[in-house]
Amino acid sequence: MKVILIGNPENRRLQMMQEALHSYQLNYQTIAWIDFLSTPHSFESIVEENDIIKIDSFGENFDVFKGLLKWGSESIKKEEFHQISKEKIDSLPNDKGRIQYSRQAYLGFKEALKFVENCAIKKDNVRFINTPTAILQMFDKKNAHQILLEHHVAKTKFLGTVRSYEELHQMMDQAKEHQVFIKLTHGSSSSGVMAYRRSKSREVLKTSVEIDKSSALYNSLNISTYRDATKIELIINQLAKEHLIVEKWEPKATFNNKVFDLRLVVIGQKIEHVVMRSSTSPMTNLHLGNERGDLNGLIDYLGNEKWEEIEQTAIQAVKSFQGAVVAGVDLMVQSNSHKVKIIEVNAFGDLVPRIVNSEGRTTYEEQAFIIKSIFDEVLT
Amino acid sequence: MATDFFYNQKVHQYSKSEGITEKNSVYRLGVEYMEDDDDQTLIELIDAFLDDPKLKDVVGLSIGVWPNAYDSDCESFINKLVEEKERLQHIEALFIGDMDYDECEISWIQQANLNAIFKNFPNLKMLQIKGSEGLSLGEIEHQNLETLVLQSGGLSKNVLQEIGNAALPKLKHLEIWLGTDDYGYDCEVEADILPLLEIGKFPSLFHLGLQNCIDADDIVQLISVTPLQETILSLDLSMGTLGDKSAEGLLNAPCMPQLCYLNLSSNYLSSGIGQKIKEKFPHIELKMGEQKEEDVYDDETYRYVDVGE
Repeated sequence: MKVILIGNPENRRLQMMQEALHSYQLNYQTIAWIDFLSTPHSFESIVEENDIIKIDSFGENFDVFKGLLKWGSESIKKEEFHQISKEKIDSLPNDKGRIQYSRQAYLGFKEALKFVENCAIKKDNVRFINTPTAILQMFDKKNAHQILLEHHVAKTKFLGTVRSYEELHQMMDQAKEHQVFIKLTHGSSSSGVMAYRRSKSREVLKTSVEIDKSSALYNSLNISTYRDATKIELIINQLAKEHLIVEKWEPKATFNNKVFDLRLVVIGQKIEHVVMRSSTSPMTNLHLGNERGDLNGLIDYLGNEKWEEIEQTAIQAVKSFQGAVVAGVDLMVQSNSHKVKIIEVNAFGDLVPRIVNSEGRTTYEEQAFIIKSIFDEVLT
Repeated sequence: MATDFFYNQKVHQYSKSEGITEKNSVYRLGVEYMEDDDDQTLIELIDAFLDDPKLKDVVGLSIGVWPNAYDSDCESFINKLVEEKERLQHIEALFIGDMDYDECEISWIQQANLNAIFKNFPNLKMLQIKGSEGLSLGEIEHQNLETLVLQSGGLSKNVLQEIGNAALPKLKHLEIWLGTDDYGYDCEVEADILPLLEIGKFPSLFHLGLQNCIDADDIVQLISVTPLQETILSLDLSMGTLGDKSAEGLLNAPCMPQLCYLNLSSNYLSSGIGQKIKEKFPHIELKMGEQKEEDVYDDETYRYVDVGE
């Protein structure tokens, strides 16, 4: 009886989980994504009955990314999105920050998770912290919108998918929306997010995406502002080679004269780790260096009733994904009305460094604590 | 939501269902930003607000988002307020265009001719305007206005000239965000700012803010050689593009001995210049805040105002 961690060993989220399991004296085995992807069959013999599997992020490792591209190289052929053939993957240069082949990597991830699931089914009582199904649903922003809608969870409005700048304009005209967020359907955190607005006389695109002279797209740590329609068209058309979704850009509420949103980490239907992110730019994501806001001040400002609604909405959102136990919910409070809306639910959203609950446990320690109680139960 | 506080009070969002609940309060009227399930127009909301039995409890009124504020101006709402002026004479503070960048960029807000506000609301003590596209103030004459705040990402000189010609005998606080030429700023400092500094122009003026200006260096050079009316005790030159070289001029500016407060935050100043000012004028409460750093592209350096778009 052990915990199986699948992730990138050099990644601090995996290291923090290992440390947490260690401190609760729990038996665990780490499987590096790179090893799993190259020799998946050895995984079959690792899984034993009563094991608990935690699948963690594959991000920020170029070899793993290439491995996923290989796994996805067959299923992407049926689609028109940006793709690379299996033979060419090995010679793909490590171009840091480059946005490419996100759909193919997702399809590969999907194949890999199916494999994990099949191994697990063969043994008795193997459980997941987030089932492969739940992770895949969360990792597909289009699908995630549909699931939240079906479960009547308040969320930002989904407008559809687009393949070009022209399609985007048609969509905005039809929906009578003048400002939208455009996101990679399978992007993590702030990768490839674009905030776009237009009026009769002008348009502006704010994004962390940068374009080079050969029209290659890169994620940057800075937000760039584009006002030239030709350039905006080029960037959107380039990014549309990936799978894109469009959401209405709904104005967020302000606190201390900055807009804010919240990252609430739901662990076993409880919320004990929250980060408030405030910004003077539309991208409130933490990865772009925005400051953490004064959470207690915010709760005072919104009132307990509103805070309760926020927590319940986040918990309901995670519940909508079957088999989800741990997720990072991004949630906004709308300007003026203070309506609560889910922005997205992140399968690997438990990385909120330095935040502890009232018991002094980090998100990873809390998960280890829960795993320990499950193991104790099995033993008795 | 835009400002949390206006007229020194927490701003309450007005809704028909809740109505007015607070005494001596400030309320904002704005449409729910393009909500599908919410077709109430701002005019309907204003009507409901005017019919509220506790209307007299409101001292400050803020007009937030109007429908398609980035394409359509606010003229019809101003006309509505003027038509209903009898019921609004107790209002002391008015804000037109109270929306933040997530709702509408400041330079996209379509303002209108607001002259009727000055003409029809003689009891007003404070007027704040955000956005200056399409804005005109006309001939300004008002016996009671104490505070005028104009926030812009790019102010046209026509508006500045209108303020320069204004008759505002009780004006204590004048705050103008001038902005940058990318968004409509076309003022000439000497010709358009100097009239505002003329002694006796605003006989009660206590605080002058010339902020967020791409020509901050020129403004400071002007202030460095121009005596300010002795009632002016507070000066705000923040959010602009001011550099050390021009700021040095403040050390010999005729206004410095009279100032109690000077705000130079969010410019391009070194801590050294702050130190020099403090040493020479220890009586001034100097605010340096955070300073910005120049951007360098292809050997060219760039400075930006805080609020443009």
